[in-house]
Amino acid sequence: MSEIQMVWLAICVALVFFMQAGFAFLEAGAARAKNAVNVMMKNYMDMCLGALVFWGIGYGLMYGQSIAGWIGFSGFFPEELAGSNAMHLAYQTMFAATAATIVSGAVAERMHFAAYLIFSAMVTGIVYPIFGSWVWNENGWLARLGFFDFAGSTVVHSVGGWCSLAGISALGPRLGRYSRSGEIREIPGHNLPLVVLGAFILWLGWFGFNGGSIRSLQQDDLGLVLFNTHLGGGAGALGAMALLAWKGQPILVSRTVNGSIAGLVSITAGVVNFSPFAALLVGAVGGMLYCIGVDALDKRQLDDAVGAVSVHGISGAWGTLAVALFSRGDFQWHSLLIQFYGIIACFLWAFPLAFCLFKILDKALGIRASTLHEQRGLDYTEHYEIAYPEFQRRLDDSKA
Amino acid sequence: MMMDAYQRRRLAARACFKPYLNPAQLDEAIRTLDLGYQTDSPTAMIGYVKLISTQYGIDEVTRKALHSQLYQLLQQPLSYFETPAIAEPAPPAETKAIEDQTPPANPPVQSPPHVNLFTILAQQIVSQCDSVELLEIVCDLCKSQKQPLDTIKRWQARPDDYSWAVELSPAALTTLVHWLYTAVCELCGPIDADRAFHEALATCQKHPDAKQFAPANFF
Repeated sequence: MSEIQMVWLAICVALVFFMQAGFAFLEAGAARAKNAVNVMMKNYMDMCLGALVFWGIGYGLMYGQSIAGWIGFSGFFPEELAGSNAMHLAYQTMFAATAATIVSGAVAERMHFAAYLIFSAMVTGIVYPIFGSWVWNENGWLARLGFFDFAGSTVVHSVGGWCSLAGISALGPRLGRYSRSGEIREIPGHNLPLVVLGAFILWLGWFGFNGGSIRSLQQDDLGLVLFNTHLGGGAGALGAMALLAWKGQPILVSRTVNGSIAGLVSITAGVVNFSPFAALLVGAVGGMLYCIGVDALDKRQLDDAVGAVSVHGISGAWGTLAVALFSRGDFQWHSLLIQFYGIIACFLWAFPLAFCLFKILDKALGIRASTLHEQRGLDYTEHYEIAYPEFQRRLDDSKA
Repeated sequence: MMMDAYQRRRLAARACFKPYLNPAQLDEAIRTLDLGYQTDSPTAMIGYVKLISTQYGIDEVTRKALHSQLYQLLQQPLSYFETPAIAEPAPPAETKAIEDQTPPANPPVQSPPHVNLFTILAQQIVSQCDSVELLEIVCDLCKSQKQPLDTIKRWQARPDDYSWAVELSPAALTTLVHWLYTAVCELCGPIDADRAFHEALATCQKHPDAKQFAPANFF
């Protein structure tokens, strides 16, 4: 790796790290005030715990010497890191934390903190790195088949999305989210400006997320990657807005910014290969699919507090398929089938494993906060702190 | 003609303490009122009730009930004190429903403060929902937690009657409040549930019994 590329990758490490703040703001703003601290803590600890777990176990599983292309098994707790390996480890550690933190938003407002931490460690230590080894380990079986995911639409985002789906299935919806007759009730977030700020930060970080995944400055066009990333984000928002307008629904800021994030997720798999027009299309469709996905989940009474399953799971799958649909050169059915195969493999790996982990944690510790704690807010019941002590309305405040 | 404030206080105090004091003691209590308690402020009235109760050995449970009784009596018009019923020691069971911002509708006589406050809170919440469906959900919650159903069944049979609440401890009423909250969440959604409970809590906090038992303790 050239020196200038090392410097660029170092900047990307910081940018992807900063995406964690974006996730924290977006998720906290989309939750109620009484759960803001809990959401922030989960995001913060994803980074803290993820760093240790991925360094210790995940990196070896993902990039160690591969056993038949299924799992790496060397380089655990690496102490000696030659050449650019340390930079690579630092960069990949940020990706691992991203995969885990996607789940925190989906399960917000009703999951025990301790149970979440354990699950987060499992994602960064087992779920994410093993699938990652199939795609990004040079001997990974999916990689050898020709499956391509440039920066992680499937490897990072869909893994996070399907783990989120497992989480919301195991936990159940928030209190009162759906009536007994199936009526869907919105639970608005407490701070929409925070949601938008979070989306801006994620978008900023995405330049590092995609830009840092280039093979080299000579082999890949960094400028195209960055520009396509930007187009994908913008088109995602516009796609979501267009669909909402067409359906006659209000154009909500939360849907718009999530559409943008869905566009960024979609573009991630093929950003290095797409033309700008293709990037625009892929992003726009990603934004639309997010809106459709959210409604579909609500119809099935699967309560996703921030739309993580739709943004990361569904749009990630779309982006991965789009690699074959919009690649430069001739369209090949074989490539499309391989991409589809990889998407299915990701779902079949991540969802059942995550669901089993949630069920085991439920038996061992209990994953769902009680309705009493849900009423009081997880900030107080899990962390003994209030996010806004000076002006938060609380039923149990005798001075209210 | 507007009732003289002094006269109203004397009439209310006489009606309040008549069951517990002999005529001489009652006259003395009225003299004490005239000399030292010439405002309607809750602090003054609570202080007055405490003094008379201590002086004449009225037990604490009764004393606490007398706070709310005196408060209610002070709201009544002159005509109320002219009715034969008020000559009897019975509390104002026929008291008309108090408006929205002032509690309570008909709390049980001589009931502890936490019971009075629970009654106010529950009445206000139940009045905003379909009581049948609401109590059905409360019943389901009780069953799911394998708790005895007697209380809930009594409540379901007569949603406006809260006399059963006197038998329950503050902890038991807290559990009921939480079930009520959960039921309202299921029926109306968490946003409407929070709004309804905040309003009900605000109403409870204006009641004199709120000085004896903080309504926030229910949560």
